[in-house]
This record gives sequence, structure tokens and C-alpha cells, in this order.
Amino acid sequence: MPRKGQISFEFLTSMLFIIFVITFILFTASDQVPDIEQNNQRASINLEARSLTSMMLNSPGYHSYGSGGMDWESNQSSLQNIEEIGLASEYHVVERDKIMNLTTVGDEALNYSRFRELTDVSNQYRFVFSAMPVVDTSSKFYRTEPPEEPNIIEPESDRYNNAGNNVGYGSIVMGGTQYNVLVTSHNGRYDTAYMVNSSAREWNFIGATRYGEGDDIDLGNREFRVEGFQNSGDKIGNVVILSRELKTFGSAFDVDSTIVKLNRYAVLKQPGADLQPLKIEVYSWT
Amino acid sequence: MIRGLSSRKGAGYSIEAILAALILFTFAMNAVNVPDNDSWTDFQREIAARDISFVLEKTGDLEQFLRNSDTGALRATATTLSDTDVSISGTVEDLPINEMQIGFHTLPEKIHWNQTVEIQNDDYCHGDLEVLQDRSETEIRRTDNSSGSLEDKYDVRLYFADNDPSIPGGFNGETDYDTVYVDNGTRCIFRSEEGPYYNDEIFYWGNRSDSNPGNFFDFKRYNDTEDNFNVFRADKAVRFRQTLEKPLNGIETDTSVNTFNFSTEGLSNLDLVVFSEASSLDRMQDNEEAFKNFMQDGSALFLMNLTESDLDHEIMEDIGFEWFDMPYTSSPDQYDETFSSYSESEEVETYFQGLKGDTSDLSLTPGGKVISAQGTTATSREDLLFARNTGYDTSELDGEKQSIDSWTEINSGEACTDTRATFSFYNENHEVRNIDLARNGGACGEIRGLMVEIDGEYRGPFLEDEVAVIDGRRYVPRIEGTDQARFVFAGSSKVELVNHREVFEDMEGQSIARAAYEKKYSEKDRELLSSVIYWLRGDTVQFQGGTGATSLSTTIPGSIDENVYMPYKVKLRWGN
Repeated sequence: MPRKGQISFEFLTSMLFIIFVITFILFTASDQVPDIEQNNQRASINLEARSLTSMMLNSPGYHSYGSGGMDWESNQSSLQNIEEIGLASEYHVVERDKIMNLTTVGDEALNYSRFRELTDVSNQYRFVFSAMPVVDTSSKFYRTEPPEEPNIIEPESDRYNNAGNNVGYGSIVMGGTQYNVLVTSHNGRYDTAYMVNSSAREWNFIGATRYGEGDDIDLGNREFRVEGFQNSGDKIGNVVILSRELKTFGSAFDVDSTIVKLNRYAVLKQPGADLQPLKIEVYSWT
Repeated sequence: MIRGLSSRKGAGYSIEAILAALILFTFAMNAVNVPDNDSWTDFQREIAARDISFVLEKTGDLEQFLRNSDTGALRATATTLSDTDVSISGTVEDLPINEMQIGFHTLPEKIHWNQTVEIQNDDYCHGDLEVLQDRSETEIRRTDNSSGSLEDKYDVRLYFADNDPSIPGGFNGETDYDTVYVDNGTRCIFRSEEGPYYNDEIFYWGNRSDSNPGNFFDFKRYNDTEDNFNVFRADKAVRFRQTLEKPLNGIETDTSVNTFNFSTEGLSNLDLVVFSEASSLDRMQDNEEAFKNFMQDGSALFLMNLTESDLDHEIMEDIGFEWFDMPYTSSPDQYDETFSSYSESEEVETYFQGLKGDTSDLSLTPGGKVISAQGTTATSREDLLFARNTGYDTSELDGEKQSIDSWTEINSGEACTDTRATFSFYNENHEVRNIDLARNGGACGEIRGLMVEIDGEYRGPFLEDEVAVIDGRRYVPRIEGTDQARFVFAGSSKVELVNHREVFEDMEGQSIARAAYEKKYSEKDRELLSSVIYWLRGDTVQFQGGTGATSLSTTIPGSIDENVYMPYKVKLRWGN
């Protein structure tokens, strides 16, 4: 009759093997723990950033001063009584005045500390708001043969004289002022813009400053940057894209933290100007 | 024996341990998988792509791009806004913004070869051509003015230069006259409308102020060996160009026109061809293979008055237009052009309204008793444009008992009576059975149906108002008794003013439309035909942007509402 409870060599080997595998798994899993934690953190930052920005872009905000209202940016009293944060006058249409009434520090506008209290966010944020107007330059004429309507007077410079035959033109309204634009190509790529104030010079481009990609342009005391020219597709030179940083708002960067960047886009609404794309670079960290 | 059992038991422990370890290992490794960074990058890209799609539509920038028929601006703007390396491709649906190169077929009598000569010392422009000469690689030549030449006819001289326009600012070292200047009455002074014109460009040869007007010509090529040049008459092409250049509902459509025949190169570069006059059918037939090859990707518009015999061309049989040899119910002086409720007709109507067209101004005629025969039956109601104030008298098409035949009972002895007779359907005979469907003595005569013999088989029974397709035509039965019944033609009797085929009888390809020929169409008729051209070309544009993998799609619905409401849909694919 076999004896019960005896421990065989095979049983011991199997036990040891199991213990070895479990130990291996525990060690491996523990290696992954920082990654899991980091990923959870990244998820938390991304999700909160999206949630926060969606709220900012979808609602106008609310103040309780007087009979209350959505124009919390209108005066000091309404600024002191903000109940909800929001920048939009309608879905994804953002009012410039609301953006300009955000301030990192100080009490003359909505400061970052109050912003965090109102939004009840757990992460830190830094927002960079940039207007990115698109100038339509799809109207074309042959260089040296400008149209009579509008009465375009071409620049007088070697750079212009050496440009491609097709010159694009258009205009953009900024701060209630129309600015007229010529774009020219060199070596088959559109790369140069000439810009004049319509009320001062109409379409006379003699002596007009020329700008290339990355250059800064002063439009009515507002500095814009030439972001790029259209050089893709069958038709080129139909578009010039400018940009202007409107506001930086939020905390200073924490160099020791992992910073997540999320780009949001909306429509910028402002008096005396066409609707423009608005880029909001959202930096967030714990 | 016991030792053997113990050994197998030990092996069992080992196997169980290995399996358990594997299961543990698998579960554990799956459980600790950490999502990589890419999933959050995709999350951020998706948010940005959806935002940008909305913003472009809301700011009106997208509409402006589409009004310019410029998907490149859409791509450039979206890419610049999204400050990351994205490649954007996609489609624009329901807008006529396709780039379109239209070729007008030219008959031999409108194709000319004329000689050129060197500049003579006694020429009136001798010594005044420096501006032209400076741009030319070789000596300027001019048209010969011998009797019968086109210079002689129009009293306007052409000058030929070798400017090599395909090489910006450079010459290719070969003698290939590729540039024409027209000395259009200004005598040796060349304004912008007098040139330069390059190969495949259309110029006006004549003095507009003269009582003897000139004509438009397409400069095709210059033969250096013979020192002659080839031009195609292009008056119709130019008139259509004027209409096609008009904005369609505020959209600057991207169309260009030139001329061709089956000997010219580059037929495959065209998107749509226009054949004028029935005599071009012979050319088409002679070049059947080239035409059918072109049709694989292209479309065609026929401007022809056709006779029954014209439809005997094999190419027309392959296309499928049919002659409808019925009399008109009336012969109006002016046809009342009307769009139908057919979806393709509605699309043409939208384009027509986009060109500010009004059907009351149209003066198109049928140009022959041609029906599209498009659809499930030859006389279906899929018509693009028809005349409301007339129609075909289709009574001859009704299926009736032959006068020499009589109804014969075929089920004697049964409670209800079934009969048969031979019917004539427009020269085709078919046996018809008039069946009592009650099969019950008490209900006899309450409900009857007709069965018709087709290819040896009886089909039906068809009840009153139920459609039967017989010989490719639609009929409904009218039954008044055992010896009184007939099939009434129920197909379309509309007189079509624009025929069309999207599916062909014996060839493959895109679409073909036909309208009556006029030597010089009114502007309003050209607007209608231009609308048909836009319809033929299609309303979906695809655009490519880079070769990156596509991982994300967004859709932007929008509309252009100027002369007519025109909804569209832009689908963007965002790649890395």
C-alpha cells in the first residue's frame, strides 16, 4: 500500500518551476509599473485638457453681477463675479474680448488662480492663443499687365521684376482697415507678399515692403507673421496664411514634469475683422 | 509496476506545472500591457482634425476655396493650421469643381494647312519686329498671303516665333516654331490679345472692326520641314468657352477648351469631347477603337440632328440611342423645355440655375426622334430635358388583337371562361390569354388577367394597371370581358430635347448626351448645354496630399447658396 503525503522529486521540481515563473512575472510587472503610472497620468492630462477646452470653446461663461449675464468680460464688476468660464459666443466661435480678458496674474482681468478655482482642474495649464487669418489671393494678373479694377500699381524692384508671370492679389480687413496684398512666385514657388494699407495707398505697391515666409508684418500696429504660401495643388498662390499671437495665459512651465500639448482650433470673432481661424496651443502637466 | 506509476505521476506534475505557468504568464503579460504614446498622439490629432474641419467651414475659407475650385488651398491651409506633419487628401462631393479639359471635334473642312515665308524686305513690318525677334530662338517667319490663303481671306498676318514656352526663360536648341503673334490691324504693334499664342491655344484671326469678321483658330502645330502650319477652326469652342467661364453659382469652374480630331495627339488628356454635326459620326465610326478607348475615362456630348439611318452606325448601336418612329401629338413653333423629376435631370437643372438660366429662354429642338432608351426599358422616364407642349402619339404601340383573329375559348366545360387571341404589338405578334382568375362559378368575371407569350413561355397573368414589359416596352392591360381586352402602352411618350446614356448597349465608358445641332446656339441654349457638360463631367473631386498612412477621417457638410442652393460634402483623410 503506497504511503500518503510523500514528496517526490518531480513534485518538488514542478513547485520550484512554478515559483520561478511567478517570480519572473512579478519582476516583469513591477518593471512596467512606472509605465502604467505614466500612461495613466498622460491619459488623465489629455482627457482633462480636452474636457476643459471643450467647455471653454462651447460655452460663453456666466457672471452673477447685477442680473447676471454671459458678458463676464465687459467690466470689472462682472469680472469679479464670474461663476462659469467660457470663451464662446456660439459653438467654437470665440470672442476676442474674452480672450483678452484672461491674465496670468493681476486682478484687472480673470487671472489664472481664479481660473483654476472656477474650472476645478487638477492639472496645470498654459494656453497660447493665436489668430491665423487666411488671405485669399486667388485673383490673378500677368505681371506688367495689372488690372484697371482694382487699379493695381505694381512694385518697382528687381525682386518683383524677376518674379513669375502670374501675380496673385487680394485683401484682408483687420481692425476695420483693409490691407491689400500682392503675392509673387520665384522659381515656381510663391514666396513673397507685398502689403499696403488700402485707405492710405489703395492698390499702389510702389515702395511697398515685401515679406517672405517667417517675416513679421505690421498691420495697424498689430504684428503678424507670414506662416506660409499655398504651393500645393494644381493652382498655387491662392492663399497666404498669417498668424498673430493674441495671448499667453497660464502657469509657467514646470521643467520637471511631463508636458502634454494639445492643439485646439476655433473661430475668432472680433469687431472690424472677418472671422478667422484661432489656434489654441494647450500645454498641460500635473 | 508501482515505480512505473509513480514516474508517470511525476511527469503529470511537470506537465501541469508547465501549463499553469504558461497560463499565468499569458494572463500576466496581457494584463500589464501599457498603451504606447501613439494612441495619445492619435487622440490629439483627431481632436485637432475635427476642430480644423469645423473652423474652415465656419470662417468661410472652405467655401472660398471651393468657389475657386481649388482643393490645393484647402490642403495648404489645413496643413499650416495643424503645425504638424500631416498629409491631407479627400473628396469633394456634389460640386462641379472638377478640372475639365474639353475637346471640340473638328471636321476636315475646318482644318487648314497654310505656308509661311521669311520676313521680306518690303514687308510693312520689316524692321519693326525686334520685340518678337528678341524672344525667339530662330528667325521670325510670317504667313504667306498668296491667293486662297487664310491671310488673304482675313487680311491679317501671323508671325511665328520659337519661344519654347515649356522651358521658362530658355531655349531648347531646336527649331520648333511654337508661338504665334497676330498682327491684328495695329500694324506691327502687338498688344496682349495679339499674342503670344502657343500650341493648342486659340486666337482670333481677323480684324474685329472689319465688316468681314474673322474666325477663331486653334494653333495646332508647325511643320519645320514643309514650313507650314496647322490650325483648326474653333468658333464653337470659343463660344462655349465664354459660357463655361461664367461662374456657376459663384463657383469659378476649372474648364479649358481646345479642338481635336482623331489624328491629333493627346486625346486621352481630354476629359470630355464634343462632336458637332451628324457627319462627325462617320469619323467616329472610322475611329471606333480610339473613341471607345477615350470613353473608358471620358464623356461625350453629341450636338447632332439625327435621322433614323444615322442610328444604324455601329457606334450608335453600341451606345444605345434609339429611333422612336411615332408621330408627334402636335408641332409647336417653340418647344416648352422642361426638366423632369429624374434625379439626373434635377442635377442638370441645378447647374442651369447656377448659371442663371431660365427655361423660358431656351430654343432647343429635338433634332430627330431619338430616345435615350436609358433605364430598365426603352421608354422609361429617365429624361434630362423634354418638351412639355408636345409628345409622341403612342397609340400605334398598343397591343391589340389582330383584326383577322378572334377570341377563342380555351377551357370549355369549366365554370369560368378563359380565351386566347393573337395580339399585334407594333408589328410583333404575341399570343395572349385572357384568364378568369376567380375559378369559381359564383365569382366568374369579377377579376381577369392577361397572360402573354414571350419566347415560347407565357408570362403573367397581369391584372389591370399592372405593368408588363413586352418587346422592351411597358404596357398595362385593359380588360373589359372575355372577348374585349388589350395592352395599353405605358412607357414615356415625352419628346426628349437632351438624350443621355450612362450605361451603353455594347461598350463601356462614362456618359454621353445628345442635343440638336445649331450652327450658332443662343447664349441661353449654351448655358443649358454647358450645364449638361458639367453633369457629364461629374460632381465628385478627389484630391491627394502626400503618401502618408491615413488613420483619420473627417466630413464637412456645407453649402453654396447664390443663384441656387447647392449642398456639398467634403471628406478629408488625415495621414501622417
